[in-house]
Amino acid sequence: MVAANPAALKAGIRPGQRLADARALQPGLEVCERDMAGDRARLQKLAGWATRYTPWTRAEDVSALADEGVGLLMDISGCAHLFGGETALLEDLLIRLNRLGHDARAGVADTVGAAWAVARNTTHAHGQAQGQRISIVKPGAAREAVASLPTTALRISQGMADDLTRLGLVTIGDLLARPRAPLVARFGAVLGARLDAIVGARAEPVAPEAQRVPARARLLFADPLIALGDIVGAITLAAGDLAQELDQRQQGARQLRLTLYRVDAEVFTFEAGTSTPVRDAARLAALFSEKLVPTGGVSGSDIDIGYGIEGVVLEARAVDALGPKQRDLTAGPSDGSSLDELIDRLSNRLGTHRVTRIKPQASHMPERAQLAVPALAAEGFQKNDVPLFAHGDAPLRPIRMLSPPEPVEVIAQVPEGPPRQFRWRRMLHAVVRSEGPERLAAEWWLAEDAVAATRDYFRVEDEEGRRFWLYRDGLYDRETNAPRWFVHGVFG
Amino acid sequence: MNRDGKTQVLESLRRDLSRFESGRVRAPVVSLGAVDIDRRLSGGRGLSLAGLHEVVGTGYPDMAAAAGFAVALGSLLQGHQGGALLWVVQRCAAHDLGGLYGPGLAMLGIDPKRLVVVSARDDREALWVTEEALRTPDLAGVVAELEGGRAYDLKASRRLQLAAEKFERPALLLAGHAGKAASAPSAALTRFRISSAPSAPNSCVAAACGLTRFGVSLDRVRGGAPSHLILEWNHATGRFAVATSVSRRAGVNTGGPRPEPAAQAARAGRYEAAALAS
Repeated sequence: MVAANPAALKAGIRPGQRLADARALQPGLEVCERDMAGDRARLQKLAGWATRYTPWTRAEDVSALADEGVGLLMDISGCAHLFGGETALLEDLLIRLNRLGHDARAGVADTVGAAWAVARNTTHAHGQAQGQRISIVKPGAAREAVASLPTTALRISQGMADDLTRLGLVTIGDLLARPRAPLVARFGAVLGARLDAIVGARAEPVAPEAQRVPARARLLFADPLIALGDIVGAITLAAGDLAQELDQRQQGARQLRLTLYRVDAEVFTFEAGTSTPVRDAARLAALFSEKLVPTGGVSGSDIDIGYGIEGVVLEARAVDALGPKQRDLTAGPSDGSSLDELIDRLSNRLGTHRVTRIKPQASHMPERAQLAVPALAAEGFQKNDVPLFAHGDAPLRPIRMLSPPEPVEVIAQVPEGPPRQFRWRRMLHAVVRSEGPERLAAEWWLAEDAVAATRDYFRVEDEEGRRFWLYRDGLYDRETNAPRWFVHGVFG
Repeated sequence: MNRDGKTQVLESLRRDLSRFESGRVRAPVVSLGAVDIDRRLSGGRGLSLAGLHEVVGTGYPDMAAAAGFAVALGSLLQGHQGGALLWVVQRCAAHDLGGLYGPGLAMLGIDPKRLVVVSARDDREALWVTEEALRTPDLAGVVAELEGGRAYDLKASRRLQLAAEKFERPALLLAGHAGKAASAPSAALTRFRISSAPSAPNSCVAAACGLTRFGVSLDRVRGGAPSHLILEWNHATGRFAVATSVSRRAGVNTGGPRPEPAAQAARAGRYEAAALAS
């Protein structure tokens, strides 16, 4: 047994019991398997949700401390007064958790260890309130507060606690009063570390889930938003706030994340990137509102608004310097910013890998001479850029390239000569004009080309005027006796 | 009503009329390079920049030629406007003919550095991207491949035509081949039906291919009559010309590898140098 609900507890079922014993006590007991992954996911969600109180929030490891229940660690230093004090914050927290269907207890103390201990042992703690669900240890009182608690409150294993009990060490106070060296020698460094942590002799910071972000805007609503239009409106408001913050710092956002908090602690996140730094509120908002709202037959992201969205957080996760810009009075086609904007929108809507630019590569092998790079990452074009590829009198390369090349059956007059006719996709083409070979040797310095053969490329035209790029794989008589033919591309 | 008033009314009526028949009088155009072609197009002065143009293949095997013709038109647009070109690709064409190949596009006249490739999942998405792109001032035009689904109907084509008119930015639709798409009604200004044509005679080597030629049927031209031409695309000058003679069958292959003309080898070297420099 890992956990039991109040009714089962009343019937005598205890966590740690064997299932058979529990069944013997209460034959009607309803049992279900523990879903570790589900617990973990839910706790992570709650940790995200709890950032409404403080950004320094972390979920405990679910598997480690099963018997005592798992929880969230929150560093509320400097945050409590925003909610009217520590007690008010905890009450608010417990009421909300209760509404979400969680039975929770809370403790506040100077150290993580002490808070952990009193939250789980409220009946023993000082300063109880709220039906013994909240216990707050006054500053500097951690040592006294935990002295009377059992050793299990030290975050040590049950086995170690049992051993300690056998030695007559029942409470934490007993341990603190002992000389440290023999204890550590007998039970290991863990015990010493835990004792130091609980009295504050050893620092134990709460590492937050959330990274520090350069800029963020947050909106919380008293009444949850149910209509998609309202949510988009809220995003626009948040984008305005964020733009203002970025404006003061002369920065523009490159990467953004939108987080929507649903009332039942479900969290939706959306990411967006931009090709150039952006701090125009309308453009920032458009990046996300397009993802949410379906337009023009392209469906938006599916989010289940459920009982409503109660919070919107828009963060700029990466920023670049962006100086103030004067608006052009004569609005007209311009500096390429409209293309950047289009690329941003399409990339965010369709995915960055589907909006690409062609980048030439330093390779003479045709299939390696170009690379599709996401347009977001590629540098923008300048209007007066010289064409990168040279122009010629007759196209030497096909406008479309088959990947991989497709095998064709070829009849050639002589094995090392140009093709006379070939059959591709069951269609016979009689070659009336051809040019070649253009001999391209494999790039032997690359591992995948170590055994590749030399290719002889031919540009051929059939009697209908269709032009193809064929190659013979391998030099006849030197590399192979039966060279194979491939079609690698088509000319216009 | 005095005489001045009358002329004013007439003027405004003429303006209205020309607006109704947009593409015929005032819309900006790009010349294809020869008067003989330009006068056959809608408006009589060249390819309208404020319009939707369909490019279809005569049959399935002519799809490569249709793509080549779209590349040539795209090159004209890039050259005329100096902006970037957006090419919407779909899986179907990539499967049939292969993906767009930068070096080859460059040799036929499109600057790959000013090309943005968007891959769409289906026709609906391709049409949506096209319409969005038409609003972008820095684009010279949009080329979109369609798979021939039902998404592209009269209503969709009218939508694109209106957007193209409003923003004076052309859209070329590579709308499959005639068997599938050509019969469908559409609001496009022009429908080019392309068939492959034997290339021009090569000035150096008789057996080699020459300048690219297309068999171009103007199936529909708003305000014009259907016609058929063989057009020759000179990618060095970026102009079309009406082919003077329908190409004779060039000399039959005599076999045996031919030496590469030195000029072509040098060009290939230049491309590699550009790639290395980038």
